[in-house]
Amino acid sequence: MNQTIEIVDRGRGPQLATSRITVLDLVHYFQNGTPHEVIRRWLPTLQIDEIAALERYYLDHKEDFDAKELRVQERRQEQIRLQRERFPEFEGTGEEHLARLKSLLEKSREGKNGEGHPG
Amino acid sequence: MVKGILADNNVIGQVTHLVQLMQAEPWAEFWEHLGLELRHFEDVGLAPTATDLEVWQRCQEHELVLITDNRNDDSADSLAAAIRNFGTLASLPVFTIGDVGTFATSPQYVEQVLRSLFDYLLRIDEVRGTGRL
Repeated sequence: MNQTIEIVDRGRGPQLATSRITVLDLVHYFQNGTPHEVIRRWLPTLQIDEIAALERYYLDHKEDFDAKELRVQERRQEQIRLQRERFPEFEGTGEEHLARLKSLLEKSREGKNGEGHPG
Repeated sequence: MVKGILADNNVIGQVTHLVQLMQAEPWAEFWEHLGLELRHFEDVGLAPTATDLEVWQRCQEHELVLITDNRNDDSADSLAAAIRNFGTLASLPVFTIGDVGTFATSPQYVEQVLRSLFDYLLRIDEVRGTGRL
């Protein structure tokens, strides 16, 4: 790609001008030293030179993005805690999980079969 | 019923992997029962630069659940703001992959995500209006 890769801020934080993918979306990959080819496997809409441009931007503002990433992780933990309160996680083996989901599947099938039937 | 799953642009690889597993044993009967389709932005007329609000609204219009790793909680048109300002008790939830780093390295975590997804999708009416899960 010979075109200049532009990074803009439209209110969601710095992002590629041509994509809603932000620098912050990729910070955890950069922090972990994930090779660009591997990042591209997870985000196939990005070109390698776009990933490189996002990483350059991250490195130029590393302290700021590392702090933001920390806040994201803290928010996620709080979100998971609240979710567990509302929908407690099922404790059990893989087989017990599967059995529980099969029971939900049966209930859902019964609900579907009942749709549109009078009474 | 939900018609499908919309993969956000920042988790296309992860959602594709999840859907491949959802369509394989022992999960295929769940996938077939739910009758879901995997959709991408271009399938529902969303630009690659779509805002969070546009993405959320399109999901509600098309009865799709969004899977994302959205990290923008601050802007006026963020997902959080869209849910807060436009969400109703009937709105479909947004699913967040909590740890995409672990997703890449741990099949056990992927399995956990997959089970949670089916759990919520099989009782989708119970989780409408919950915002983000």
